[in-house]
Amino acid sequence: MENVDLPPNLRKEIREYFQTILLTMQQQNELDAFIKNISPSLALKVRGHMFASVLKERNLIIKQTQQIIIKSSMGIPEAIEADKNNSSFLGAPSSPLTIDA
Amino acid sequence: MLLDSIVVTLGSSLNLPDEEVIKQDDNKADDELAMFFCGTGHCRVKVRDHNGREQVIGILKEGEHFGEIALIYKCKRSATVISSNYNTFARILKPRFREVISEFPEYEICLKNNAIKNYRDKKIQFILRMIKRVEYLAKHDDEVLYDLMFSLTPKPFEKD
Repeated sequence: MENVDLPPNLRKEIREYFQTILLTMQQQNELDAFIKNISPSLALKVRGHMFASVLKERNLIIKQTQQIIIKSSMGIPEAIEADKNNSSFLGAPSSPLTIDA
Repeated sequence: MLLDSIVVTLGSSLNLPDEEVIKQDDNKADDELAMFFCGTGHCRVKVRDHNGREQVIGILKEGEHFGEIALIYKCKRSATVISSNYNTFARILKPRFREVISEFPEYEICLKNNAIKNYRDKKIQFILRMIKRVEYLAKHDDEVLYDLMFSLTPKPFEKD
């Protein structure tokens, strides 16, 4: 930075950037190591805690799919109809979405 | 349920500001391909159109997903996603994704429906227009056209 004669403000910004990067990288490495060192069932709970709530609340496609699955399992005609209409995506008439009586 | 099946397969990754998470036209091996969910932070989606111009077409926020197109349609990456700040992503690798889909095929259908409804950038519009010029294909639904579109390999030709 000195060699290219960068202004003090820019040098400060670059220093802060590197510090933050190193810190966050360290955090990520610690998290990876932590997850590797705990048992699979605990790792599952940790990942669940990290991501489940954000996906549950904010991922519309997961929400929408869960509603379809629930409706289908309850035999609600609307869901079955929707599934039938959508089953052409899979190109398979015998796909699990086509509910036969 | 679906959410539980997804959560148990997730890995995590941290991305730095301005880091490319996925790159348009990348063609990775199946075991390296993944779909991502934003855990924390925002990222921007860029698409290079048929004229080679790159445009930001959207911002992804917490909970939203990306990278599913290459997994569903078995094609190259259709967009570039760049982290705008420090992002924690949850990622699901393709083999695991296929397992989830085989258990919950409804999820694939919803992902496809979402793509058809919301992915309408200039490149997609251009390819759809081209496909629809073929009289026989113009009659088909978007589901079929999207399947076809993502299975095409673009081949540019130089002007005379």
